[in-house]
Amino acid sequence: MAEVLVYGLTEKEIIAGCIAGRRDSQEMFYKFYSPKMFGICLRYANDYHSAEDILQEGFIKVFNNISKFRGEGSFEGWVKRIFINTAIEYYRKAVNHNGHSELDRASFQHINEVAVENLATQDLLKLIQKLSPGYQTVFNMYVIDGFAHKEIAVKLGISEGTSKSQLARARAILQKMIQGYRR
Amino acid sequence: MSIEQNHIDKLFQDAFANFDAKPSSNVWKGIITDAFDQNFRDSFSEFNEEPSPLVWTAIAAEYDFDINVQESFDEFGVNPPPRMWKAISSQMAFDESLNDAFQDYEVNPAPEVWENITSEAVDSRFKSVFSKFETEPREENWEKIRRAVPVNLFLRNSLNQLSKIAAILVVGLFLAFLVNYSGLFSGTNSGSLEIANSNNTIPSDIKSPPVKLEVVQPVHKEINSVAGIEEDVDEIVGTSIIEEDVDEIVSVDIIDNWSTKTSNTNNNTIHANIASYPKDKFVSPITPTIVQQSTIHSSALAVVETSEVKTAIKPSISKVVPQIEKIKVLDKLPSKEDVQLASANNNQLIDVNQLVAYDVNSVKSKHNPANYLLTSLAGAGSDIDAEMVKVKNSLVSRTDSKRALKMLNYRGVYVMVSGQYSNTWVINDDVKSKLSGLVQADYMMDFGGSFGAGLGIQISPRFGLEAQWNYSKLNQRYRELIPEGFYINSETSLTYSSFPVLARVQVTRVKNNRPNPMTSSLVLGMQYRYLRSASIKSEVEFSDPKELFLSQELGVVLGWDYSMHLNPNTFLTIGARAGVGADIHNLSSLSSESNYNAEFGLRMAVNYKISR
Repeated sequence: MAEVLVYGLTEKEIIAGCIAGRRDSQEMFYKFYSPKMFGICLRYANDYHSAEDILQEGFIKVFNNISKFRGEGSFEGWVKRIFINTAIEYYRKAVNHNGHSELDRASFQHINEVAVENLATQDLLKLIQKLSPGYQTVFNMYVIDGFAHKEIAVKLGISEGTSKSQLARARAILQKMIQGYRR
Repeated sequence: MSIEQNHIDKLFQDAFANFDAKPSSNVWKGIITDAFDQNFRDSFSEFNEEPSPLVWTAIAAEYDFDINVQESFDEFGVNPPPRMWKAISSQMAFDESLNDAFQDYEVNPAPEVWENITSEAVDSRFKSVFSKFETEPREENWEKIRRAVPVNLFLRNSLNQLSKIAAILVVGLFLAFLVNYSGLFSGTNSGSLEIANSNNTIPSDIKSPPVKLEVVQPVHKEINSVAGIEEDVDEIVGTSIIEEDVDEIVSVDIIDNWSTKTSNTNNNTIHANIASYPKDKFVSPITPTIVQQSTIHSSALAVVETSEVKTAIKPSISKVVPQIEKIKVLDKLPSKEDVQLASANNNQLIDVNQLVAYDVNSVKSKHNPANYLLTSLAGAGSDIDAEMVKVKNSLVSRTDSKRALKMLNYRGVYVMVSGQYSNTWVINDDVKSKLSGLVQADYMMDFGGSFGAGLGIQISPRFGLEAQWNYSKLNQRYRELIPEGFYINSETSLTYSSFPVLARVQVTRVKNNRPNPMTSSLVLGMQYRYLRSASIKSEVEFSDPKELFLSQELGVVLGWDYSMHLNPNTFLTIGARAGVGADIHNLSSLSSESNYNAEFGLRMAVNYKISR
């Protein structure tokens, strides 16, 4: 039996409604997926407003392209992928506007003295958002979203080695920032 | 000492005054053994014996030997071989050097070792926190999204599919236009009738029938007394006979307008189901005579006389066909030629060679016998009409053109050079996925082509084989849909060496009465390809694009060609080709992995016959 998502409707029914362009289906879809997707957006964005931009852009793309979903694999995975792609595009724009000054924003703010294990989600989010766009994107893709370096390289248009080195630097910066928390 | 003590002492003295006890026998043995030992001791205390002189000799000899050896080796020294020292010194040096080298040896481990150790904790912490991380966005986000999503989304999504259907229709209409414009199928509503013979002998006395155009209109329905059915009966409202000078009979190509004709008896004419031929279908070497007021199968007609006109009613097929079969073609048709006609209603083939004498008086031997046959068939009643006249295998063989026959009946080898312009599709979902940036990219129509050379062999006039080599270019564009509209962001371009092996089956001969006869052929075969190069124009960088595409492909090719014979040695081929191929090692990739190449194109080739 199909899993009921929201308001007694199944995923399939909501998708069908979205394909047909029904507003109520779109809204239900939004209400169900927006918290998850906004979490992704916040991870990839540098601030709250940028995350909102990515969220809006992502949902627009989902609604415009939902008819292309072939039913192969997880629908949530498909939606998540669109949001990640949107975030990547956001990263590209950020790089184009700001150049590749990856270390510029690696300034450390010592907020409080707690260990990484005790850091709250919001604190960790702030740490991620302090990374420069390149490091932030690579770290998110590799560590949290499970992309391989090869995939990251293709997606971001960088070499595999660059992806690895950016991840290493991102980790180093995060570790320093976490040490800063400890002190 | 007290008195008591003295008393006690006295008691003990008295008790033991006479006390004695016998000692043990061992006591005595011991006493006498000691005496024995003492005797031996005393006996040997002065004992002395001179040893044998040999003893001294032996001792002296032994002593001297030792002394001699000792003296001999007192100064003995031998230098060891140089290698001994070398080995010793090198061993020592090696040991020393190793010792020195590693005395203060330290190596820092690779940074990633520690990094890995420490980053594991960081990674796992971030992953555990954010893998299920959700947070509600602000309410106004939905409003912005709602305003941005078009209301007619369904229509917009449908346009994607509709555009593909429209593209197919446009291509189809274009091809149909080409076909119609070229007249390749003109008049084919009744099939195609060709006249040719295999030994190229042309009866010299065959003339064309006159062209008769009549304007008729239905008057009323009458009962066909022969067929027993109700049918429209036409009345002649006017008759015109058109005679024209034509040059040469080469064929009756198309018979496309059969009609029941009537005539009144005043002009002594019975027009029974004479076909109205487009006048351009007839040519004659002889200026035609005035039309004869008779037809070949008047005997088959049933005449219904009304008050005003006598109407010739279509006879039944059962009545006509036997008579047709009796036709003796007096026009010197070769006895062995492969003439075949199809009877209209049952597609039964009738071999003209088997036809025997038929109403000789009715058969105008100077008329085209094929015309008579068809006219007779058409006159066979309600079961036959133009659309039912199907001529099998396109062929009634009889032609006036030896030249055309020579071209059409060629057997032998020919070479070709060809070029093709194609709509190409490189379907590769893996690449598409990698090229997807914002959203899933779409395949977009793109064009490529090929050129090459080949060798063909015409095994029979109808069947041949071709093998070719082509340098093929397959292009594929991709697009991404963004809110602002469509844009193209990437393109792949592949070059292949293609080796098609094709069977060519001549389906019909068209316009074989022309100086440049034409044939149409079905082409079907297999194609092997190997990838020569691959390139991708995209924002995404690929280290080796060639690895992403089909390196070796096996597929099928289907096509339709029109061949125009320019001269006895050369013919031009224009046609359409469709081909699809998948990984030679995994042909199921066509469907299972959406990984295949396809092309649909227009091809032109120049062929040269090299056999005589």
